[in-house]
Amino acid sequence: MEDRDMTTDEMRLQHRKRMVGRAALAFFGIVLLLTFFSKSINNMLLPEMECVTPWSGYLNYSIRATGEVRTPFTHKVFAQGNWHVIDVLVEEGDVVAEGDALAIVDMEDISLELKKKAFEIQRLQNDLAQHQATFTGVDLESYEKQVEKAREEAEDAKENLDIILALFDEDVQKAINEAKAERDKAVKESEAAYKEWQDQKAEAERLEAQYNRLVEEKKMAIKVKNRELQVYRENYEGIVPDNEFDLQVSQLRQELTRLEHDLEDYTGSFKLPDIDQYQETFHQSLQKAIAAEENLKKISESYATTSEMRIRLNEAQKRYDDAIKQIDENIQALEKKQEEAKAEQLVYTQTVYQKKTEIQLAMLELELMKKYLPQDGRLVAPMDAMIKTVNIEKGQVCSPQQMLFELIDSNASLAIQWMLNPAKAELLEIGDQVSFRVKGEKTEEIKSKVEKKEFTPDNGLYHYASEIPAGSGDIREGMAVEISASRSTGEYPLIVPNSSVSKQGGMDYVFVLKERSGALGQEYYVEAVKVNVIERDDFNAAVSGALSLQDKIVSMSTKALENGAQVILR
Amino acid sequence: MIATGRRKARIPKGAGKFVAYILLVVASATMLFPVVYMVCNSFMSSNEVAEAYALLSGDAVFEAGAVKKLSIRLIPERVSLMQYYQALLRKPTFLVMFWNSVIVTVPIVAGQLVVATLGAYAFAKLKFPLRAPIFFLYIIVMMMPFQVTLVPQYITLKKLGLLGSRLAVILPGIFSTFGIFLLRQFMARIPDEYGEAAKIDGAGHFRIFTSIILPQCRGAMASLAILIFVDNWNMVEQPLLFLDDERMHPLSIFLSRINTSELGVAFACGILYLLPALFVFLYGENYLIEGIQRSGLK
Repeated sequence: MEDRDMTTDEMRLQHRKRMVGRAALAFFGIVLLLTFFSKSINNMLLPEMECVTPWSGYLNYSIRATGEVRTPFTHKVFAQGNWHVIDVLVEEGDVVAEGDALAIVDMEDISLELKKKAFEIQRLQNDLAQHQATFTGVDLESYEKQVEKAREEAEDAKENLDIILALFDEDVQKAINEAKAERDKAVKESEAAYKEWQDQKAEAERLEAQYNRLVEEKKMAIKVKNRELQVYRENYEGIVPDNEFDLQVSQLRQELTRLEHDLEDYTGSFKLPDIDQYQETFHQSLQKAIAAEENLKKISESYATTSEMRIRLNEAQKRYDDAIKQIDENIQALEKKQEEAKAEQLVYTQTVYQKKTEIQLAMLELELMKKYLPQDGRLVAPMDAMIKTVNIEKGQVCSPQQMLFELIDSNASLAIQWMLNPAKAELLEIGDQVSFRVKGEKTEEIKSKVEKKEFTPDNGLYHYASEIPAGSGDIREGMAVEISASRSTGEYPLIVPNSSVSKQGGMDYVFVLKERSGALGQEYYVEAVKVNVIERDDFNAAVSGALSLQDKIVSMSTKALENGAQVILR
Repeated sequence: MIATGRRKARIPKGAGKFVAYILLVVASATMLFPVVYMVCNSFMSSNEVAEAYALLSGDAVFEAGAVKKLSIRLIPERVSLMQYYQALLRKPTFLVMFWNSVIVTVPIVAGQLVVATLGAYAFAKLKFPLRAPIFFLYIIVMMMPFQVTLVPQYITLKKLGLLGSRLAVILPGIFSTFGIFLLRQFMARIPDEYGEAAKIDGAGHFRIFTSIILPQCRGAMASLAILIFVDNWNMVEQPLLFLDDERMHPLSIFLSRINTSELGVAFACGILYLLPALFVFLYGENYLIEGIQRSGLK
């Protein structure tokens, strides 16, 4: 039984090993196969690309547009009032000579318009005269007089102030000088008293010290004598004979008594000098000096505020200040009036000029009306011309300034006209060379220069015109024209194709081809290099950045590129 | 008689077994989770992987001022074979490095089997002076971390002029001490009487080695081969240090770098990288268990 189990386990084990072995073989076989084809597969899936090298040179802008042959300008005939058209004598496309009748209008309407214009002129003239008569301007004389009067008052006040100021100075100086002299005298006396007091005080102190020293000396002598008496008694009593002992003791006592009397006499007779009187004298003189100083101060202050001379001086000063202030006020008032007068004069001048201009304009219009309005009701051609447009019909009443006829001058040359948007218009200026292909029965190719460039606000386009040079063949108005022009920029050091520049995250990049060593040998990859596009035309762009003329940059790729991506060359 | 002893707490029969099973299941799940995780994620599209694990490549996504946290995903938004397509068809580097790994690993396994069997036979069955100290030295070298012997190896290879060639990786691998130790332990258990009997019959050492010892060591040799294969299939430091030319680098280095630059194919590459080692293990699983049991390494 056990043997059978073992055999079964062994078989299972062998089966598993076979399965694992096959799986391993399959795995390694697949990996080997994929490795063999890896380069081919990789190359098939890599982006193919073409390269160019940057170059230095110019950018060329080409401008293309379509236009038309037209006359440079037309002559327009306008109505001058509410005319009643009796008859229209021409049609569009008719050729007329100067003086030929174009239309007939009602004479009564024309004369009415003339009268209306004459009346308008008269009204404007009356208006002007009335305006001139009523203008008076601003009276400045009274203000000038007031200024002059204020100046005189100020001069008078100044003279008065000077006199009072001189008097005030003299009086004040005299009083202050007297007070100063008194103060100085008192100060000197005080200083002398103080010195005397100090001297006496020093002398008293010296005498007191001397007294103390002598008293000490005498007390010391008494003490010594006492000690001598005591020693003698202790040492010699009973040793020397009694009489001799008594005699000696008696002598010593007498000397001691004399010394004590001497001390008493000295202390009783000694007396310190009296220094209080000197101190009292000093205090009195000091009080006098202080009083003199206060007196000086009082005099100075009183002259500064309340003295009669000070009051008079203040009044004179105030009068002078008021006068000066009055001058300033009057001058300000005068200047204000002068500005008002100036403004009024300006308004008056402008109004008069405006009215005169209106009168002149109305007179000119009247003259034109008289000149162009046919007295007999016939509206005539001002030149040899072709009728381009007729805007009236028989029996119609036209409004003032309505265009009636548009005439093309027979002697005027034709021009090619076209429009360009602002972006392209920046590239084409007056004087630039332009090529034209005029399409008629036979296509004519001519060259000319831009003669006119105007912005037309109505459509936001620029209107260009070029003259047709003489001898350009049979070119007539209305023919379609193809316009082409080109312009070169200045030289740029780095130019690349527009297709090379790609935008990522708002930045411009070009991809530079690089070579590196990879797992399968040398391989190409691209490196994104940031550039700044300076200018670009339809095909190329001038750039700046970390590029050199030797770099190979990608001009075309079959797939989107990213920095570091492996690529193959086509 | 009064019963004073405490009654023993009765544990239900089979409870201990249940707890043991729970612990084993948890441990197994913990160990298997990275593999399951890798398999699941290998079926995500490259974009989904790049988005989910942007933090690993340093492309952190900021949301309202805060860094988006790394999310662990097991279920793909849309199952895709794009990673396998990318790894096998769009990355020739991967395939080249795969064969680099094979070129380095197979010679090491073969070479070390030869060297280890001979060395182990000498230490197990031959008696020569200083046999024990030399074997002790072998064990000391085996115990040393690889980083310790790195600098001497580098200097030796430089002196030999092998730096930059595949031999710089293969030769140190062949002469690794672990194989000798493993097989010596196994051969030491084979009774000497077999050899002595063969000697009596006139067999020399080579005959004894090839006819008696090696047939008995097949299990140990298979387990050694598996261990060496797995060890060298995963090596990173040696190729990085000894091989300057990136075209010679094995797949293990490709995977170690993939986190930063090509996260989108990381999981599929991991699975493909795992397969050869798995095949080797599955093929020789019984030998491995047997070899480890008999060599006393258990």
